Amino acid sequence: MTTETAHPDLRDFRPLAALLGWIFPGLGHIASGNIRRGFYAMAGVLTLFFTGVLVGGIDCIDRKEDFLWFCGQAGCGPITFATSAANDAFLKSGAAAPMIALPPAQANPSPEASAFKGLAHANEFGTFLVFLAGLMNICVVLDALVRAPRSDGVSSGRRAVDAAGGVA
Amino acid sequence: MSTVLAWSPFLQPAPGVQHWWWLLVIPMALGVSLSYKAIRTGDLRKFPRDVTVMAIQIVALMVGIAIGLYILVLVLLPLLPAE
Repeated sequence: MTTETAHPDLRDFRPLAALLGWIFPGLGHIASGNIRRGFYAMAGVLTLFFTGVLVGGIDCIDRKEDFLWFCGQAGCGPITFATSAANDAFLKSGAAAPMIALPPAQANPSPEASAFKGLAHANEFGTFLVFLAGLMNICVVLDALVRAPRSDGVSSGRRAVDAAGGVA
Repeated sequence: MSTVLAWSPFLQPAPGVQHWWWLLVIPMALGVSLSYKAIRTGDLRKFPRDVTVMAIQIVALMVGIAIGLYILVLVLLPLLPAE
């Protein structure tokens, strides 16, 4: 018994849709005509993102202190970078709340942190939820890369080659 | 109550999370289900049903794991001989 597998051609990839999907969650699908699917994906990713920021505050996205977490969170695109910049501008500068002196450390003899800095469960779950949003958006972006345009109604196959009648 | 009234959403962490952190499994399950089923559901007419089923499965599995670990740590392990 032989099986045939359809290999997607490079022309079936849609890098612009993937880029748009990274710029804002779901935008890649919307731009390629899969409007309902795009809004559904957007709702999912933004639910995770905003729940995380609501629970942990903007401090849960920190490009400098939590860089490894930030790498996953960056899957959400510019909204993650904007939130990290807001963290720097409002919390770390002391503009939003007074700075509190912390116990001295070897690397930093007079450390300070914002009174709005997230601690314990609030920070952990906020960071984790935004991280999860980033990972889910990477999945959405990869789907936008290979999904056939205007295929919301297609019930089987999601790659362009499948929608065109290729053998899967 | 006063901590909630003084809360600045998004700037400050939500107050009292250490008491209700386990409830965060619900938005987590909902968000993961929404985004996963948005790309995996073939027929979008089934999307609400698929999302509901997957979210319930995630929450049920987490509750099941919690119950299992509770029994393991607080019931079964203390029954083992000390030596």
